[in-house]
Amino acid sequence: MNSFTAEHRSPYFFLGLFLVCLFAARTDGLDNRHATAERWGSPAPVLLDLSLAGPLRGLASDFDVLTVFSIYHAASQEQKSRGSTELWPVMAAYLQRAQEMDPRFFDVYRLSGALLAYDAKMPHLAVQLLQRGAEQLEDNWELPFIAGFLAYDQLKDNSLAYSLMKEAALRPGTPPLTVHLAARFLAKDEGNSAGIAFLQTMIELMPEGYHAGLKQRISELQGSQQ
Amino acid sequence: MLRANSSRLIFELSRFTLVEIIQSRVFRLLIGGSLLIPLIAVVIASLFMADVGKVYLDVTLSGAHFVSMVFTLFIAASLLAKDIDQRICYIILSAPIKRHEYILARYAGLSIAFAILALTLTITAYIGGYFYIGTLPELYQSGFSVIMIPMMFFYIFFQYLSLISVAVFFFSWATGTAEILLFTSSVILFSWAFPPVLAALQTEELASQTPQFLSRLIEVIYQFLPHLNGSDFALSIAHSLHINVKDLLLYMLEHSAYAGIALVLALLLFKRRDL
Repeated sequence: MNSFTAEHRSPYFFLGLFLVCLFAARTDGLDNRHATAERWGSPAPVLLDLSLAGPLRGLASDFDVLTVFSIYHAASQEQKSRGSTELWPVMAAYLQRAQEMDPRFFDVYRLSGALLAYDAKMPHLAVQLLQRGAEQLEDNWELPFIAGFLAYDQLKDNSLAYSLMKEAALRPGTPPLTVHLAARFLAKDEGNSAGIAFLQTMIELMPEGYHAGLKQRISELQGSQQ
Repeated sequence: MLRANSSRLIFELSRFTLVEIIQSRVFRLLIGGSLLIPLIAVVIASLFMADVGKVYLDVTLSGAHFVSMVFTLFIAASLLAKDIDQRICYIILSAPIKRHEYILARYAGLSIAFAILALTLTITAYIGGYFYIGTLPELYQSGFSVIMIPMMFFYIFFQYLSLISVAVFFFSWATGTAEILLFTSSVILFSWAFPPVLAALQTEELASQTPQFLSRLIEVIYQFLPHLNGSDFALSIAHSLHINVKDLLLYMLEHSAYAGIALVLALLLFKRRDL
């Protein structure tokens, strides 16, 4: 019974002490999971990222997109509580980085077409990213289609919208809608109803958590239609 | 008669190497880890919106690289280093085994053990891909094809055969563990990081800012290293893109030739080594 001496107790004492310290530090210290604008900052220089990623550029791109999800969540919260946020340019930088790491990663373009264009209100950048993607994915009609619609709806640049929509219409597997929209942009006619149709298609493609910006735009278009 | 005897000796020693590796705890841990990789890939892939198939392949490929790197450094390089540090090669070479037989048998044993590891990874990743990604709606599969999984491990296997031969090359003249591990890990590091630097140096802006001798030096060093980024296969595989047979054959030829050169150099150096 008495063999459990001070000598034996001391490791347990220190183990307990260190566990308490660790718990206290983790409870009151900085937590990387709750990131803020200052904490995120911009991504590292592209050459450094590419060198670190080596043959795992795909994985590096996946992690950039995961960061975009986190920033979107934090930015939405901040926008709700403070009415503004400085996180949108940071989100845009991570989307650009994800595109540089893996230009064929389609989630990047989905997020650009929805979050970057509508929530972050950075349609110029969204169109640029989608155009770059369209150059890489030569058989894909969706990227010039989304870029064309954004050029029409957000940039109000009908000639760019027409040229992008025409590009989409010429690619394999394109639905008749692209041809229809290209014609409409060329004629600068009845944009709102086409816009609503497009946004509803986008809503079907996006998970529920990302519908807010798109729904807001639909109601704006519906309002101006009446 | 002599040739047959030599083959038998190489076979016996490579079998001994294989048993030695299989009995090591690190190898068993790697086999266990390779069972977990597809599970981790499924968890990470499920966080994504639509390109779930692509992310699954990305994570599996990264896991395969990690496991292969651990194998190269902590099994292949360490086993060879132990032969010098614990003077095991002296004991083996005192038997009627020639130096070239010893090198070839060690490399064969290491390659077979690595093949077993790669096969385990292929089977577990295939099962994960078939039962998880294969059952998802097409939008989430992002063109995923299970045939890409054996392709992925084929890609990994040839790269690391080159790197294992690099470890054998360093073993042929290095004095112990520290040197073998340092040189092998340096080769892995440079092979990993050089291709993007070289690609960036081809852009006009960076090329004009970089002294020409430096660009040439990096290019020359790179030619001595195994090319881990060969033809950007990794991204093509993750996107289930068609890889043409010519590229595939050239890729195999490149790594087989590299491994062959490293082994021949190792044989020549080890023959002259003062043991």
